[in-house]
Amino acid sequence: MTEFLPHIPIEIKPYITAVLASLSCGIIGTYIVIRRLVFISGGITHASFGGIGIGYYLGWHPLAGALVAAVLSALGIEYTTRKGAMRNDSAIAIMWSLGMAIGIIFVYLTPGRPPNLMSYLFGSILVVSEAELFFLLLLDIVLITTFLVFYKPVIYVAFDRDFAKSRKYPVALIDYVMMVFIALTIVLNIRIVGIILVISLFTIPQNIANLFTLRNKPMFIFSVLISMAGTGMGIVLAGIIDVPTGATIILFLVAMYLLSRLLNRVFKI
Amino acid sequence: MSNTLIELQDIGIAYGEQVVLENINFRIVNEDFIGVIGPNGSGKTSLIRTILGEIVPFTGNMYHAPQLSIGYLPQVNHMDTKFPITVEEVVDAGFLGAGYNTAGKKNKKEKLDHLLSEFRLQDFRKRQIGTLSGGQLQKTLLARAVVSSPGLLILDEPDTYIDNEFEHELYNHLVKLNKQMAIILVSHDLGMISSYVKTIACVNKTLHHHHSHEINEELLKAYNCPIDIITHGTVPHRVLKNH
Repeated sequence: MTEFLPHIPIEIKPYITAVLASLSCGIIGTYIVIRRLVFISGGITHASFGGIGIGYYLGWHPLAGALVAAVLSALGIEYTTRKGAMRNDSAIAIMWSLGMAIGIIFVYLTPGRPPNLMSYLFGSILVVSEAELFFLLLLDIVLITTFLVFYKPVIYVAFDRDFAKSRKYPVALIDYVMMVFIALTIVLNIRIVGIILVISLFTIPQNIANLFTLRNKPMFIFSVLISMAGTGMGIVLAGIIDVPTGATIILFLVAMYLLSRLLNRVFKI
Repeated sequence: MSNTLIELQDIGIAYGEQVVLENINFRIVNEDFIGVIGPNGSGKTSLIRTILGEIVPFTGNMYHAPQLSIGYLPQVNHMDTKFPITVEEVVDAGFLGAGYNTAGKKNKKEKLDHLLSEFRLQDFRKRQIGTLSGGQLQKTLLARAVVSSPGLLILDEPDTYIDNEFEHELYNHLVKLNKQMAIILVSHDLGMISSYVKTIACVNKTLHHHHSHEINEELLKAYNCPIDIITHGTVPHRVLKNH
């Protein structure tokens, strides 16, 4: 299905991946941070591991399984929150551990040699396929278009849902669509830094950006740029000192955050 | 019925098995300025949410004037003041819904500028809401509620986090706005609002609409809304028992 895609030289592929990942993580991560959905996103991320396990077991591409699990858990969390059926944080924690448990069981049940789960748990930016990059590019296009066209309603509803509801605005529709975007962004970025670390791409660049701006538009743009700088430098550093790329990206981003805090305090930007 | 904006007839509200409001008969007309009072947990917020259409009553009839748009000022403590949004954007959000796509861009900007200057917010328009005082934030939210010129404005306890001086400023704004729209003001401070509102509705499981802004303690007792006289700062004033 994706044979038409051009082959990308191995030397530049990680950097293209970093740019494409930063676009989606920068945009969706900013939405996650300003709406305080970080914990929910952690739940969806870990629930997707169940899909990876089932994917292995059924012989699908593991990321296809992860996609189904992430979207279903995202919609499930949104639904239980909306219905007030149970405490939101408890629902997330259950989804979080249930996903991991299902993943472990199905990987165990899969006959033959156990698959290499490390690239999903801790990421492996160097082995991302052209097909995965193609889907990441598609996601970026959809996200950028959606945010350009519906920017104000998305931000205004995120700020005050009660008010938006009082104006008969389709708050539920926006919430569900955004949850699906969050799920897609998580799954397509799992290979960059892995399930365990992907949440940091949604939070660290955004919190660095927030140190320098209190406005929403610059926060989106800065987050994308900081994410690009962080992932790019992480790849370079990991190559030089020969350590895992995903973890290096996160360490570099945290260092950027601490340095930014310091600069912010010293120069009162 | 011609000037009726909203009418509730024998409305009952319940959360699961628990009945919160019953036998509610309440009519809101064009020029109304109604103070809604009642002790904590009396169902004031449920009444508001019913009028906004967020809660579906288990019994009774409800009439909404066609095309009626409602401006709503929620309680400030529900706001995320860390949210990266400016005063100007918050007020612009008031065009969401009915008026958002229909009002022309230029028209919207004129109205927004006019309101910001009327509410003396123009110097703060680019400020993030977390950097405002309680009063400035409240004015910003009021500007959002009225920027699209709704037929009915509902305010849920706008007096919670503001000082006395600003409270008077706010209520004077409301008196002016009442020339263009009906207003429902939920408050627990009867002493303060009674000199601004035209009529008073006492809510405690059911609703008594008292068609005057002057009300005595016997009547309040009869309406099941007993009050106390307490002292906030130096000025003694009347507040609801159990508030």
